[in-house]
Amino acid sequence: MQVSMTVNGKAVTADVEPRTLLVHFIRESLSLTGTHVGCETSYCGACTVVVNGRSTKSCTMLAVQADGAEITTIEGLASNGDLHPIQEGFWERHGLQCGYCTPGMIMSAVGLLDENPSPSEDEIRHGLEGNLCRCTGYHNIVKAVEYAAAKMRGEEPAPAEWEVTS
Amino acid sequence: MRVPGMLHGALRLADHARADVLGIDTEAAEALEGVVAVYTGDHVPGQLSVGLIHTDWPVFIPIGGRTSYLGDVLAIVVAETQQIAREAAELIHISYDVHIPFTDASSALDSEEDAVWGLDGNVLSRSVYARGDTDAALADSAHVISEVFETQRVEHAFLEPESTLAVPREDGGLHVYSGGQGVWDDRDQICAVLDLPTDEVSVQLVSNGGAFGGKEDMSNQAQTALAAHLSGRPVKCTLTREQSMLVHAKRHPIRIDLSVGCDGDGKLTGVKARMIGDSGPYASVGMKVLERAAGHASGPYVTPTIDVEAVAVRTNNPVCGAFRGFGANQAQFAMEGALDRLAEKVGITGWEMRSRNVVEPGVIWGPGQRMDDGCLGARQCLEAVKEAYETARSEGKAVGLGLSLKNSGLGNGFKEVARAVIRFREDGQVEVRHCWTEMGQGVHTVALQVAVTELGVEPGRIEVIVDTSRELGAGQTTGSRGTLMAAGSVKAACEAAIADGCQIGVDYPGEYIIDWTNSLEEDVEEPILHSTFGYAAQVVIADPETGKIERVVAAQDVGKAINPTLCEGQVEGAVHMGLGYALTEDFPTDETGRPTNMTLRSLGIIRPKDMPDVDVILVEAPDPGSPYGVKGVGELGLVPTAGAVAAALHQVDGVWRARLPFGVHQPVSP
Ligand code: FES
Ligand code: FES
Repeated sequence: MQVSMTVNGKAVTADVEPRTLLVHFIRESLSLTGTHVGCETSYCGACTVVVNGRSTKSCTMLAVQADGAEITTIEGLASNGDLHPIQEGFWERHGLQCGYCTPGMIMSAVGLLDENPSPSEDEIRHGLEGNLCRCTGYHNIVKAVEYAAAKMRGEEPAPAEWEVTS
Repeated sequence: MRVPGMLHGALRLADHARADVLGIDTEAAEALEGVVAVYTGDHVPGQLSVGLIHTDWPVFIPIGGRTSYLGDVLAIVVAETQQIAREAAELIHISYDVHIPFTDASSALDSEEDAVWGLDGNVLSRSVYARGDTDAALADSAHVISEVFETQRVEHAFLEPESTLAVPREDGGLHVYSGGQGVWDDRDQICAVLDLPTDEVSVQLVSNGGAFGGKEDMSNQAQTALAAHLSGRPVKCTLTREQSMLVHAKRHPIRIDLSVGCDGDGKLTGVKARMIGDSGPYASVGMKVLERAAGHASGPYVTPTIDVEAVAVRTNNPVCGAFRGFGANQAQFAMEGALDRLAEKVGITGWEMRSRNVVEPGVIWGPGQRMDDGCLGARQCLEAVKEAYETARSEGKAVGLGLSLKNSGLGNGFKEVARAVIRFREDGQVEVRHCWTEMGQGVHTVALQVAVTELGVEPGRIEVIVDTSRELGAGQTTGSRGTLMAAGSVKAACEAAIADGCQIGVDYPGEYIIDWTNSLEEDVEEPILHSTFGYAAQVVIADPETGKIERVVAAQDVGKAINPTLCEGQVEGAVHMGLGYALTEDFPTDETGRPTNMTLRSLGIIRPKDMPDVDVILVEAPDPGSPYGVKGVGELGLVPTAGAVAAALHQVDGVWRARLPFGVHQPVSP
């Protein structure tokens, strides 16, 4: 079957088997491998992308269901080599260790901050409910999102804990 | 990763945990459009089995063989797409004669029948030591507690499933991209299976998406390499989540029968422990895990007498092997529990009990090692959490405390060698080759920091590389030794470079060797079992009504924090894993040896909203014998957690918990 969609601002058209998951379409057909697969059972969130403005687990959707959609993956986030504030936040606040969950976390955070530009810590934790991380204990991920939220509101992010204590 | 002309591989795993394989019919699979080939045990030119310590883990179960757990591999399908390969793998028809599997370690121990195909007896290992007359000491003690503690099997659940890409080289050899924890071990084992000399296989490390010990053994490297070698095409094979869960080694469930005594003041008099660990069918490093559990049985405390035996038993449950903490977790969950029960009998707090028994420089510890100044970290950790402990108690919170130690490196008589090579390039860049796997813990950053410090060059000029182009072989990145040994070897290589004027294009090698430890079996006075220990104290603070954990204060002695941000990240991640271990994580099997929690969802990993605040306090009590005074960081942060949670929950409902996991939000008994 033929599908057409806009991915990271570019129009793409391709032939896919009807049962192809969106995540496989993105990784295999479009070679955008920043979107990860952790479970394929809609639990881990490693495959999260933004579909028509909403954070979506791309393993829960068929490629054909995304026909006509506007999709942003982690590769489409930085503009002209400048990191997106959320990417910058993960960098600045050591929000990753192995990094496997990171693209999904970031794409969930995009949706989260879009709906709520000033989330509390609790709201961030609930907002990232669908994303699993086995390495970090989430603490620095929350800090990374707080950093990004401040930046996106045009404010100066609060200093990191280690900047305060040492 | 992908390369031109790449095919996809998919494994076919066993359908029964213990069954004779009568036939493997690949016809239907081969007939599927897009399938290139199906390979089985019959195609293996070299050794059928591999293994890090014993060569007992078959890469395929051939016709005429017998499966020994559900992670056994019967075949690999190679096809044009991953989807086709996976579909074809299910079309392979296997006929079996099914036997009743051993799914209980104690019954396997008592049985005359062999649990595992081709292996004699069901005892993998027995680790034993004793000091003094423990029975007499316990009989004379003012207080004694005797209890059976049971820990559960746990799945690593690293977020990236195992993946291997094998590419035939132009010179007829093979280049393998592996996401394992030790590329030299991978290479040697692949060569043994393919019957190739080691210069015909090169293995390159791909930074992996988490491992925690679960990627030490080979998973699909040998089968993927075989498929590429025989088909002459690049083959990539990624395990599905279910296969990943079935194949790789887990954390051991251990049954610990523990007796601990103390005098009227709470001073320990004796520790007696009998441990039985369910190791699954193949050795992996199971004997080392039980040896480590035995060695750490008394925790970071002084006891005049001790008597320990730990047995690793072969069963048909999942293989158990390395997992962050490596036996120290299980042993110290039990020991911490005993200490808290004794504190109650003596009538002192958990903090005071620990303070009265903690190791000090010069004392004899556990199996007989005389402790050096590095152990000052134990008391310093205890002091570091004292205020948080007392404040929370005075606020009426339910509060538990855990104190633990964990060795860095392998120790126990194992000679450990780490090598590094520094090379200045024409273009001004400096190559730093070391031998450890980056898996999120930041060992590359540590190597870079050491090189920057020693050579005085800009970080941007340094390239950190791990590959088999130099013989740096060091075994697995395990036992919290990466930082310690990378720092030592890179430092030595930098010194060699400086001594020679840092010439362009010259390999400057550096080594760091630990060869002065003793095994538990060696009969020496005051054995040195481990070169270095780290210490950690954690306070778990819970709501006294609901038992909900509100905060964890984690003090950890890292010797010297080479990179404080990385250290804190390690501790926070470890506490997350430790809380899961205490409360919710489990990977049980049914009577057929089949794991019952077969999705990420069902594993009980703690979600963001359920994770309490973690306050990390880094303590620096330098190790007198290690580079910069460094101690390992990675594992320790989850060793004290379960004991501390048990103590906190006991304050909520008065119930002493001896079996992991406890479950969340235990109802308060009226
Ligand atoms: S891969 Fe989609 S949620 Fe895990
Ligand atoms: S950083 Fe490894 S899973 Fe999140």
